[in-house]
Amino acid sequence: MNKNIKDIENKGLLKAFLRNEYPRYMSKDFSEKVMIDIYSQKTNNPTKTYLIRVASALVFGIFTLALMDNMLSEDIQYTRTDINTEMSAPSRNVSNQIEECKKVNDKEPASDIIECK
Amino acid sequence: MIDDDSEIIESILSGDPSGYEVIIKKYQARIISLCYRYTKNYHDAEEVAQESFLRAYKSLGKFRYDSKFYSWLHRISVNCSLNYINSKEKLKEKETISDNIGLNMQEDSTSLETPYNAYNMEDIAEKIGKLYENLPDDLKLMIKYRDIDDMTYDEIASKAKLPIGTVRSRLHRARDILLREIETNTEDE
Repeated sequence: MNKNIKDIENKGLLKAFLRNEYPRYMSKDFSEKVMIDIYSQKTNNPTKTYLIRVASALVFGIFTLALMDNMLSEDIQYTRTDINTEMSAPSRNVSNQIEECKKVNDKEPASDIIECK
Repeated sequence: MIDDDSEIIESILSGDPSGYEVIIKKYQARIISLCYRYTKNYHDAEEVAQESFLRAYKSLGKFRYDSKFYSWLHRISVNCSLNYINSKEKLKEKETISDNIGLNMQEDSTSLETPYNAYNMEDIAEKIGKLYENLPDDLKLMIKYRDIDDMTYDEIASKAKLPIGTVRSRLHRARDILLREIETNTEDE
């Protein structure tokens, strides 16, 4: 280690001991760990981060536009039938439960009238 | 206000971060000790101290020399420690299983063994304390004035009624004895 830095470190420790301001333990590589953090943050410069952000925004925008364009340009098949014509209006007092109908007195019907319950 | 660290700070601000290592080495023990008072845990104290140094580095441009650099760094460390406590408190609120899980505010008394790759500061402090007590009174006084009471050389010279050169040489002799002891105890293996 650079002797000058080691001297500064020892003077700092001396001051800490004399003032009773020292921890019980201290990592030998504490300062190195902080410096690694500092250098790693320095390499992540803001311009680079900004450019990456702009690039990702552009990619996202282009992708979204392409997706929307694809969706809108799809051929839509319209049917010619009118929805109203398919709906049958329910008739009043008419039952569709044919099984429920019985012939009166088990006789041959005199007419075609079938009595329903 | 003239600060001992102003030259280093200026060099860092002009684009040379390597000078910051000097700052860290100078204050690391005191800052870790400060954080330990809040965290009560050796490992967390170092983490909070690391965060404090990092935050101070990022805000170095905002340091206005209206106080000593150490006082400014001290304030940042207290804030980081309080943030640590708040985050631990929140974590504790979420913990419902056991009181022992979550905030560990118990003093780290179980780990008596020195952790790997760490200095046993209590051992060194004991040796330094003994050496300091055995120093001749005139040398001891210089150390007290300069390193404990933070007086300037002029103030010491005026208080001790000594020429500034004598103050410097006595302080140098006294420090030399103590620093040699620290050096033997912190030598890289």
